[in-house]
Amino acid sequence: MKVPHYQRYLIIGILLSLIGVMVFAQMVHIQTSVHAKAVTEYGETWAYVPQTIFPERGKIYDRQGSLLVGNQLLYEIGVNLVDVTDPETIARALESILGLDYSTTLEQVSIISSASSSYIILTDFVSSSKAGEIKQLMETYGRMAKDPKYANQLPPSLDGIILTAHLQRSYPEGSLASNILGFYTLKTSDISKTADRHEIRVGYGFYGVEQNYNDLLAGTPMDVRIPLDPNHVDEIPDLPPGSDLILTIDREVQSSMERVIDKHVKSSGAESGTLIVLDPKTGEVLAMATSPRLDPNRYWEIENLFKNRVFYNRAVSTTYEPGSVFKVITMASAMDAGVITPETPFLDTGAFEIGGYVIRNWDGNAWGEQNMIGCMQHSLNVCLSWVAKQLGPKSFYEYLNRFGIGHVTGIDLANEATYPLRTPDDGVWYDVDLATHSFGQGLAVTPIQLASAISAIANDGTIMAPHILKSMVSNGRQYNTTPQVLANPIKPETARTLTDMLATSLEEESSDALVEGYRVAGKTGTAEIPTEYGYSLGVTNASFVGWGPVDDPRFLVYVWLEKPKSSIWGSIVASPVFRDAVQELVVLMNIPPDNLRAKLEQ
Amino acid sequence: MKKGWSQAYKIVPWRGQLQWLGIMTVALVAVSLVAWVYLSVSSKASIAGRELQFYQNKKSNAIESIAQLETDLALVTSSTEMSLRAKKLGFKQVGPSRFTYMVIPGYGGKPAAELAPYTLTRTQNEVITPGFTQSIWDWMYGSFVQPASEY
Repeated sequence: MKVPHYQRYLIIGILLSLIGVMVFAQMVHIQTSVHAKAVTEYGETWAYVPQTIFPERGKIYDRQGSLLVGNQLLYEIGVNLVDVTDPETIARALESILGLDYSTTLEQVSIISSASSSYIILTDFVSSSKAGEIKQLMETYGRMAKDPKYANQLPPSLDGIILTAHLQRSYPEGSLASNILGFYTLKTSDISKTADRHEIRVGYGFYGVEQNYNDLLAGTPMDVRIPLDPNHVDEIPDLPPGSDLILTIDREVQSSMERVIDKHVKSSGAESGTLIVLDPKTGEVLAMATSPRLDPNRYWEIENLFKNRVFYNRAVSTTYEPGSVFKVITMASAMDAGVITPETPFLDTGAFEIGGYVIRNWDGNAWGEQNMIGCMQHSLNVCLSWVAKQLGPKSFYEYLNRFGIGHVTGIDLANEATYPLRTPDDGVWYDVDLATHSFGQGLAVTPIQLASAISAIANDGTIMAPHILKSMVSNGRQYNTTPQVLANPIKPETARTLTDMLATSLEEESSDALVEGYRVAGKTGTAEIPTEYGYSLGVTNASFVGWGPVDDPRFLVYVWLEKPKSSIWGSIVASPVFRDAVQELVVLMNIPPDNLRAKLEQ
Repeated sequence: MKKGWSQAYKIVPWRGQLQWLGIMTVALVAVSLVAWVYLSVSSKASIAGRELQFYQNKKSNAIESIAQLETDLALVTSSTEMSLRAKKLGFKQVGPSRFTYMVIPGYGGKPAAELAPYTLTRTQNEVITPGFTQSIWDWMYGSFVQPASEY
């Protein structure tokens, strides 16, 4: 039987349609199968490059807006192994421009690209100028490749080299204020295995402002996925940079104070020096100079510079027995409690017995009839021990607590230290402690702690919280900090009386701390240094604290010279530091001499 | 009337073929039109995407350059550099004895730093409208399917 031709067409049509339906059904099956999701996800991993975007780290300025810490452009030099055509030329070029070892580089770039190593880093932190030289050479070789002259030969090539720019912390002022600023390191860490580039940079702020305000400066990094398909290109969100910080320090004042302290450390043969300048009315730190100082651009030298448990910023991290500068606190407490007045008489017999111990003066002599001005002027331990006893332990330690002794000041710098103060409530306190504490032995403070406590006397009895941050610039706005009151340990009248008393005391002893044209108040300190075997002989900490002008204090200067060799006495080595510092300060802070200021204010 | 049309097609078969041809042509033109619109939008989106990448790179380069220039400026005006330059030019530090102080009405001394930048960040939506990033299917889904499903 013969099948009609239209039936044959029908059969073929049905068969083809069936095939089509089957193909379609299989397509639907593939698209909806359990494997489809996995395949899609696998495809997605190749469609995007995960990347962590780090915002530009915030900059740090001084109070006038001079840049103290910025960022500079440096380059990472790497090679994409699959693109390398001329390893010898790459090794030779990098040797001549960057000084990289020829054979090591040649070995590195000659590795055959594999799935595990397609990109290798040859070096990092290359300056813009050096990177520019490499780029220029790459362009030259690129032009040569297109030149018909080289049609029959293989021109040199730097193909494969990849220069990746990144920002690195820069400290344009070098070691200036490095104890305040701290430093920032870059650490390369393998924290993202899924990233195309396995290495991601993570930075850390160490010490000072860099550590204390690390979170503010760093901003918030963001993880993004960069699509490789241009159809899916999306805008990378605008990442706000880290906050910029404006500090209370003045670059010129800081620089000048560093010069002063460096000069005196050298001339006195001291192990180190610390000089703090505070504005007693606001608590702003105008300068905080310590020696030695590190150049934060070369932060890896820290271990060479700070050995044997020496702290990076002695002004906030080192506690020491201050000695006689502490008498200012004792005298202020007793006067405020009404126990004594500047005219209170005292007969100095050269010895004061307490708790089975005998307290003697610094020279071992008896100074006879004195008043409180004389006691401070001659820095009599016997007198101050008597004053503390008149005040009584309960009241004395209450006052010390109010002055913040034994507590951190809360200054916004990293690693502030404090030393616990022994009080009668402790089991380790003895009667003699009342006497030794009265003249600054047997207790320990940081320079900023004592400077902050004594600033109450320069500021009508009020301690303003010492701080280093003046303003913060974040998200397009500047936020200024407001000075905060830390405590009111004494009455304004007490503060003024004591200031006048200390100014008179300096004038009467013709102290080396006096500054021509300006009336200043202050007190010297010479403290023996405790060791495991008792107090050391012939080695001291020399200090001076002073402020001025006494009628309207604009600055408080705290000086500490550690183990001076030229003389052990604070009055000889530390007082001239104060004088030199004030001579510079009155110029930099535009403070006219007292007589002229009175005329100008009329 | 309907019978008349049917009879006319039976008498002249090419009229039926012509009708099929017309329908096919219209379908082809419609498909071509959709394909053209799709390709055109896709290519524009691709170009915009590439431009976006280009400008993003340019922007990050500019940020890096600004940081570098600011640091360069700070380096040449640093305290140490300025002191050295002043010494080279023969300047000397003046002592207080050579100062003349005077009151200048309205002058309150050196002002504190004011560094607040002036521009505000713009949100993503303000820069790229969805038309540059979504496909025609995304658009149809967003315009017709999704609104309908909300009811």
